[in-house]
Amino acid sequence: MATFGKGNTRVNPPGNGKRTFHSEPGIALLGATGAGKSTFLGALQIALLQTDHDWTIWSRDPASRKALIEMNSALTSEGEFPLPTTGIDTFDWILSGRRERTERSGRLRTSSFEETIQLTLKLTDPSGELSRSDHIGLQPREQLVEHVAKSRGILYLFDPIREFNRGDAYDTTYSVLMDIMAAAADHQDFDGRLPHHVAVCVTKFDEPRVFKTAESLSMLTWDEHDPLGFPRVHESDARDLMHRLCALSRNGTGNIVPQLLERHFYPDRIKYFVTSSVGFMVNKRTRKFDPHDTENVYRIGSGESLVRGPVNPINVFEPIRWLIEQAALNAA
Amino acid sequence: MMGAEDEVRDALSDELARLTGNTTFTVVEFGSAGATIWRLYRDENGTPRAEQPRVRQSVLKDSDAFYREVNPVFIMRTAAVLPDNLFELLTAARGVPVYECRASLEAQVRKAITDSPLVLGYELAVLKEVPAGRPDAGRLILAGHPLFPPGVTQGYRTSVRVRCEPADGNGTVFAVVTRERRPDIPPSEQVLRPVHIHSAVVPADTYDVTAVLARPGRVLLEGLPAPLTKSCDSWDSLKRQVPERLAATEAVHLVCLIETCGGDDQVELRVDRLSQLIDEAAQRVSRLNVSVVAYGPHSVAWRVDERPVAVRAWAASGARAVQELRGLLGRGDDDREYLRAAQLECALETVARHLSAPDGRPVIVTAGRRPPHPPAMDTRSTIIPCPDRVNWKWQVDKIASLGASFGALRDQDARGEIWRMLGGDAMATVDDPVDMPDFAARLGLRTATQTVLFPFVD
Repeated sequence: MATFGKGNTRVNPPGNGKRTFHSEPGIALLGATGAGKSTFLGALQIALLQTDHDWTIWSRDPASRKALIEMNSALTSEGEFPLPTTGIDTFDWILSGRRERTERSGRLRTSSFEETIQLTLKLTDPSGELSRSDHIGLQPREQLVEHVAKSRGILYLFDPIREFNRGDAYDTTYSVLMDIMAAAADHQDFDGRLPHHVAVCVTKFDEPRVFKTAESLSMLTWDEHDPLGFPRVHESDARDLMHRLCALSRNGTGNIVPQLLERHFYPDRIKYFVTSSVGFMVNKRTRKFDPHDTENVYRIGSGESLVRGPVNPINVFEPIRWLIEQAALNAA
Repeated sequence: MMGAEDEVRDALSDELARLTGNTTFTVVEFGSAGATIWRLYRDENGTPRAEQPRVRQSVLKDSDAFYREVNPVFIMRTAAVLPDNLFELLTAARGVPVYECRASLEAQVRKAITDSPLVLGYELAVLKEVPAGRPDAGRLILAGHPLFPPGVTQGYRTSVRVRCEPADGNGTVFAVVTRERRPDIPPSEQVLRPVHIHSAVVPADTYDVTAVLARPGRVLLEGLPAPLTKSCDSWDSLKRQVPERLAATEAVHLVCLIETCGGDDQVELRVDRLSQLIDEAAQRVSRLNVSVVAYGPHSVAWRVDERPVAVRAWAASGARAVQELRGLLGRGDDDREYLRAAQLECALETVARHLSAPDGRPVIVTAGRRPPHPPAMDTRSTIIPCPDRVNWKWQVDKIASLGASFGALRDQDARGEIWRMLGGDAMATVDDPVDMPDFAARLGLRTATQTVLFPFVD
């Protein structure tokens, strides 16, 4: 019997103040074609290297390892984007790290210990086309629905530029949600809402229209310790930014996408992030962020898109970490 | 051992060297068919000439009359068997040298004339203005510019830079002259005598001409963009057409901005159209300066090197500008270049920075397709901004404030405000035939009212 939105978790008992946490919180990616799902995964390794923590990502599975290397190399060596997924790719990547954890050990006592985390990320990267309603009933679509349903967390990538140009986010999201709901309805724990944690990523933060919208709403914040001077949109503003960007949707339905998600998932299990897999353009002369030239992508004659400067992912690891933390909390 | 041909050549050279003023000398060939007599003299330019004088048959049968009237400096025998009368003349040679040769005397004479040194210097007929501060300042004087000094021989070459003004339909006159050198007459008033007069229909421009002495009486002029043909007008008529003064003319500075991206075929079209415009302008404007500014795509990625705007020529001649335009062909595009815009704003900034009034009234003609980069992020066009944040509108305004005219030779699909502004006075598409006289006229490149036949040496 399928386990919906729960994954598998195993916690070893503490010893010498340390304990090891093993988890397989399957994470599925959802998003339209061109939303940047594969690029998001390709940027994950770089994002990990740029965090202060000792996180590493690796894989035992040869196919998953090959995909990890290829996605990463495309971005870093040639400035190219990973090839779009044509069916469904599932990667078994292992995320290793350490974290400080505090737990209550009695009515009045708490104890702290360092926890070694080893998480098997079952990442499902489907082709964006599978989200379209004309794929309902087809075998790959059924497979996608099964993968998403089994996952503990969902990375939902919302591409505001696609929404501006095509405006199909509502239709594709609604269609997939209906299938997942149908698959979950038979489960004994089903109470009318899907149990997954959902990290909604508003992508392409570096694109001028996204950046300018955030700027005009005074949502930009700066970390004075950031060596490149990149701004960010705080998570508390991310939903409002998405709402504002959705208002520019080509067919006017984009602005109800957040409501659609919050109606079918528990709203307290949804968190919004404003992301860019490649980050902002870094000025070649000053080696700093330039608020007058933010986009880090351009298109060449062949139609291919290339990265302009160094890749400095923004909010790529953070949504995954949040999903992992939610899985750990549930397991504790 | 010296052969008979060498002796004949030396004898001819010696006699030519002694030939001065109105003197002549005669040489004779005795052959199986009879006698051939050549009389050599120098024309008014000092050029050796040879002619066959008419001699009565009776003279060729009477040795006294022959040696008295013909009086040859030598006789050349080219046949073993001679007619009787020539044989008798030969036996009565009376000390006149007789050489036995196979080559014809005519060939020997031609060779000797070709190899002979100039006895008068050759000059190019040019116009000069009387310098400011002198009486008659600005008056035009037909003068000689030295090409070859006396004593030089065939193959000698020299260079001269000439400036051609707009001429009439027969073109600019290139006349090689000698000067009657008389100590009692100032050089400026010494009479110029034409050696030969040619003309070429060339655009008003400055040319570096190389003069090569082919032989006395024949000078080749190399370096002109059109062939020289023999002039139809007489020397006196040409001299009469020299204007008293140059009419006051406006200097024009034609600045050609050319986009070098978009493929070789498209760049070649732009080069062709701009070259046609330069030629058209050169025929209309006497004081024309031409600049060529080439621009391509900005590098928007770290991995692609920036190729900055290039000033290929500034306030140069039309010929140099065309040459620089041709040099832009075959450069090719970078597979990774940004396609949506070009460095047009930086090219305009370069022009605005370089323009100066002494170069002439600016006429800015742009050949290209892509729009400029905006000075800042533009969420409407989403074109990546200029790395130097140059504002193309400010640059156009700055250039316009200098009284510039604007013409655009745009690609078929070039659109937008920028091309409307750059084509404010004249607009055409490079893909279609361009009525270049009309295009030039709309830019204020008007036909000169005064024509000047002779070149200037500044």
